[in-house]
Amino acid sequence: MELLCLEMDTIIRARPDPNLLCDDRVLQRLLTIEERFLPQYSYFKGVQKDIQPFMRRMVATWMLEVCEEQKCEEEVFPLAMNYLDRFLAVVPTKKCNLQLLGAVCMFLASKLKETRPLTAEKLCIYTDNSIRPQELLEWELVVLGKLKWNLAAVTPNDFIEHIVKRLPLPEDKLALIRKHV
Amino acid sequence: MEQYSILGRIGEGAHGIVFKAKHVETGETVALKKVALRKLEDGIPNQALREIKALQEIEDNQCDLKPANLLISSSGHLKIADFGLARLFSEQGERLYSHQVATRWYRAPELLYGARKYDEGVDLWAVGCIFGELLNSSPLFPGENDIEQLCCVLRVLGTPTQDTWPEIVELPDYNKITFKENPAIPLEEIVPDTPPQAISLLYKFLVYSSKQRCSARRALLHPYFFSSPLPAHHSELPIPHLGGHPPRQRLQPPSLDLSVDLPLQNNVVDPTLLQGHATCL
Repeated sequence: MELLCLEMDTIIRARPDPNLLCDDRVLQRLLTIEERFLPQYSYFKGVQKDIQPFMRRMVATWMLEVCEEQKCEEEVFPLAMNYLDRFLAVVPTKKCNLQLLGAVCMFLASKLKETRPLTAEKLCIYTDNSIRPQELLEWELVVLGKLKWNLAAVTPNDFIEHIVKRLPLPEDKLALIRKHV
Repeated sequence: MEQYSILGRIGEGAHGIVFKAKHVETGETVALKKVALRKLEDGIPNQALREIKALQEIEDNQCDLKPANLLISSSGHLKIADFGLARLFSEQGERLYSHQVATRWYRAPELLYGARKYDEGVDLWAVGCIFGELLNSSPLFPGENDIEQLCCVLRVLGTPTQDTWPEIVELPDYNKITFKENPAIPLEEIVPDTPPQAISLLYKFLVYSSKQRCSARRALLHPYFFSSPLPAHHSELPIPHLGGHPPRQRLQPPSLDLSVDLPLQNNVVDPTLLQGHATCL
């Protein structure tokens, strides 16, 4: 018997569970829960005076870049965007704080989803040190409070495997299809 | 924190200390967990965030009451399990999903009419279904699909009216489907040869209006539990075989060649051999 400890510095992940993916109740429940986590309405029309749609696009692009460069789990970015939108739907925010908010949202999403989450220090470096770790931690509490600590949002990513499973797709193309969605 | 007064310490784990406390305003007893912030530079520990997520999920979930989720421990205690998403590992692939069907049989009528908001009444309905099944040794409402499930319930309880079920008009699927009107069938006919006290208790659970179903606490005071046969102490219950697998021979029917020519003793079956096969023992 192999007695060597073969633990490596890789992250062990569970294989997709067909029992979860084939059960319509799971999909049904995801759809129900999803509604609870959708931002109430278009905040550019009401809550936000300073922030414009193009600014959201800019911060989103930056967040995606950080997530990709840090090789974050795929669900981190959409989850962080969900936090960002939900926060902006209720709190009037200055545009100078938008990147800070984006960083906090990635910070939280990464903590919830990843084995080795992004550190405050790393995130601050990605803002070119325009924010300080201390600010990030203070805003973390603010964001958590405004989101009522409800972090387990359902994101579009959660549906991918369920949909793929229900489509008549050729086995050999599956990896490619997943990549493109 | 000012909202709570600490009553004592419950336990201590790797990530923090748990206290027993009282919410001053409501008097509700709660557990408070004090989480150690060991790595200050990374803010709220992900452990804590995930624990909160888990607690929210528990709060969300109604337990899925059905016979398959009721276990009797080796000490005779009833345990409610939820194998909602677990599957029996079976070599016959086609049996894997059978539990999905089973869950439907215990689903409260408001859920069948698409209710989004529901309460503990759905569990009380399931309790009624399970109680009836125990009395009858077969499920009360074995619907093959959701529509048929409603039919099964309506056939026994009678088509609901504004009187028997005032809330029905607010349910999402109320207008989507109508059933031929039929009167209720007395439960005595559905669960024959059952003592009147048991029937009376069953009537308390199998009520259309969720609010009118008998609460678990009140049900325990029902005369059924105070009339013969009285409830058994858990130590008196027939319990599952200790130590895992029962002896092999019990799985096969006792093979005995009964013959009138042999002495009587040879023809008497050892009762222990029959336990798995005869429900009367």
